[in-house]
Amino acid sequence: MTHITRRRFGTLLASTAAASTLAAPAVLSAAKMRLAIIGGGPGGATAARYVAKGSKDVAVTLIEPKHHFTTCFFSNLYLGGFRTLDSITHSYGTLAAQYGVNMVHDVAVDVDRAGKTVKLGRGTDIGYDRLVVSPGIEMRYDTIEGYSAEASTAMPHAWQAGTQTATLKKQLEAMDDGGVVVVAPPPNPFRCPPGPYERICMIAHYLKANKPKSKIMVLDAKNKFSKQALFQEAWASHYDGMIEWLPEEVTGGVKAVKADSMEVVMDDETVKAAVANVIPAQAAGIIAKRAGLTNDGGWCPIDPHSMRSKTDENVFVIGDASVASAMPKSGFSANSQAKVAANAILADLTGSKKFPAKFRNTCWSLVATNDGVKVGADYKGGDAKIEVTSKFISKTGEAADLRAQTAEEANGWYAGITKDMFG
Amino acid sequence: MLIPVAKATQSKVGMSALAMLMFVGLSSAGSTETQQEKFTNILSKADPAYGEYLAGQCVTCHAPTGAAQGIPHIHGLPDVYLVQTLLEYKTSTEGRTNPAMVNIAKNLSEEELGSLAKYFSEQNPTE
Repeated sequence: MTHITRRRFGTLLASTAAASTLAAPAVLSAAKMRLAIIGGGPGGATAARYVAKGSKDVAVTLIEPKHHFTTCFFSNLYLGGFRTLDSITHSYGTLAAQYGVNMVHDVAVDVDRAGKTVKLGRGTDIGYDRLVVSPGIEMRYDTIEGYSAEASTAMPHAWQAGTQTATLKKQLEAMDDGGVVVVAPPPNPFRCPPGPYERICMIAHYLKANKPKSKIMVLDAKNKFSKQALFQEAWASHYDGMIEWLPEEVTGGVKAVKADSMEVVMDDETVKAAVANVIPAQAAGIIAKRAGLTNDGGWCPIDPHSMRSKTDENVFVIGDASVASAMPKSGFSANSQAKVAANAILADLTGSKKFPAKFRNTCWSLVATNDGVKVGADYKGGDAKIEVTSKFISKTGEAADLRAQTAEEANGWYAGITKDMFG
Repeated sequence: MLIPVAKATQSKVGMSALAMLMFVGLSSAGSTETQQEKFTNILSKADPAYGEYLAGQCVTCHAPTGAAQGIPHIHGLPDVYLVQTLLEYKTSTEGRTNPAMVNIAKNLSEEELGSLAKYFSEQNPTE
């Protein structure tokens, strides 16, 4: 006769009882540990894929309202005419079909951390053993008088890709030659530090070919910016006379907007724009605040060795929403952090080995046809924060063939990271 | 003499053929015997689980599928070739001067380098 221990007997009994009332797959999944992930961008999608492929014993649920995800990275290339919106839009189908990720297309409206439950806008609550919060950014419209979600349909920020990006593109296509395009980059910290300046290149590229009498006025909230020497070199060499960059110390930055009359207001001056790309200050996606994970600045402090929230040991925050400096807020960073978090989550839930936190970021920017530049660094978990191990940046005056190679690399990276996110 | 990887990898087939050629070249060159021992020694330090973890930070760019598009395929290449290549990036020699890869390689310990080479050599490239 088979020896059955008391504990084993209890398990069998429970299974039998459950089997009498539930379908077989539910019995199997009942034993699994549960990971819930809020946000299906570079952070959340990557975390879902890596935890799902790392263990069959963890049930992964990815909560993301959109059925298709348009990447913010490369959306500037759409504005410049180098990419279609379709080519930067991706499905979650492979994550569900091949990796067994449970896709829940709903909005996470709140988190009951005591009860380890995510509240959804429409559907049933999602319970978890570990939670990843990767909601990206929220626009702080209140930092610019007159700006709002509604005003952003007339003066798009286009800092969350999709409809906003398409709106900005249509406005550029509809404007008369000779108009002024205002680009207002946000104060630090914000998503994608080189992004506004690559965007200026891409808008200039479009205008140079299609509306060459037009100008771009950059009303910056800062006095310096990422890859500044490289971008200013590109503006002078490719778009001479088209771009005027005005730092905060000159204008005081954008204080108010009037969407009805397309006016952008600074301390002592008002500009009438044909197109106004107003990118406001940002904070972690609103669910992070509702979950009580944010600091006074609106971002989520994390343990630099794991991306675990400093507020709740069962919660990990990755991507733009986290305080991950020295890493910039970028899709690459979010993807990198997701893999460190996935390793820590698997260690928590399955007892697998936790390795030292090692992160990476590289940001390519296309400044003109066949002219790319890049900046990057490796990082590690430090005593109090994520620290740079070593870094590099493209140089001004590089040969054209190197710049062309860098531009081509960016295409390879795009193919790689989106494969890594969505499978 | 090695051809910089980015220029040599117009196709996966081309890359693999080149890698094999150099792999053979290494063992027949005679004077590289100590180098061969060095590579073998590095590979003996490989930890498969650590290699898989570290590789997560590589596949952001080095996809297992699709055209190379300016970033070479590394899945399924011989481990010795991958060790040699990473060591060249580490010292920015033999034309391996891409600052992104030089920056990455210079942080890798021998254990990490061997673990990565071993891991990628055991991956099947997919179409």
